[in-house]
Amino acid sequence: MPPKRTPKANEDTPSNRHIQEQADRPASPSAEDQEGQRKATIPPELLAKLLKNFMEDEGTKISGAATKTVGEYMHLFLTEAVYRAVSNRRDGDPWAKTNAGLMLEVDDLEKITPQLLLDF
Amino acid sequence: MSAPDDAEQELTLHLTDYQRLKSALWYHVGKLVDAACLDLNVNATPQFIGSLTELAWVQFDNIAKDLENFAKHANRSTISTADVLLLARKNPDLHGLLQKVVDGEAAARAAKQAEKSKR
Repeated sequence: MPPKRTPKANEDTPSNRHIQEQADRPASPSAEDQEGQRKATIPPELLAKLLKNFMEDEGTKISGAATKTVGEYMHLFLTEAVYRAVSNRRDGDPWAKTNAGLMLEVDDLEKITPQLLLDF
Repeated sequence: MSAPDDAEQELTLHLTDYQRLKSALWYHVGKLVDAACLDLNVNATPQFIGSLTELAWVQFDNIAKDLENFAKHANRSTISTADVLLLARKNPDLHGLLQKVVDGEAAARAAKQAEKSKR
């Protein structure tokens, strides 16, 4: 089971921790692999099914290593979306820098989507 | 069973397949966003996760068709890691990160092969 989000618990964490995390930010989407095992990834079976679903030619196959690479690609895509949404919100709103319990809205995603799609 | 019945069954089957795929993606996007949010000490609304799922869905559509055409262009019917690397041709940083995964994957397979031949 995935850990449930607890908004209250997040607000309790000391704010200096988040400043430290902000400093690590540029490298952090990939920094997770240093731990070896990742907390959340899209399973290869789902990736293969999704790709098959969108393909026009039924006969096209996909190798296992390629599926894993697509998994990494989508992982980076989704994590990058969250990181950009947060960084965009914090840039626009100086008060948000000190606010640990920030809520991401659809508006935040809308603002970063065009550049995100150009970069991926 | 008559022919129209078959067609109808296929249609509902297809529809649920689509729905099941999308909800599976939704679930995993949710988990991923939660993990990222935990690192950043923020929270995401369910609407945010839903929109991000929609975005990922469209991105999957795009890359699946791209990959298929890349493989076809190379006269292959199987998509290889080289095709996936080609997806990131416009973004050198992304290309580098994917290259690392591909290299790791190749090394793991080589190690496995070496072990097999040793026995």
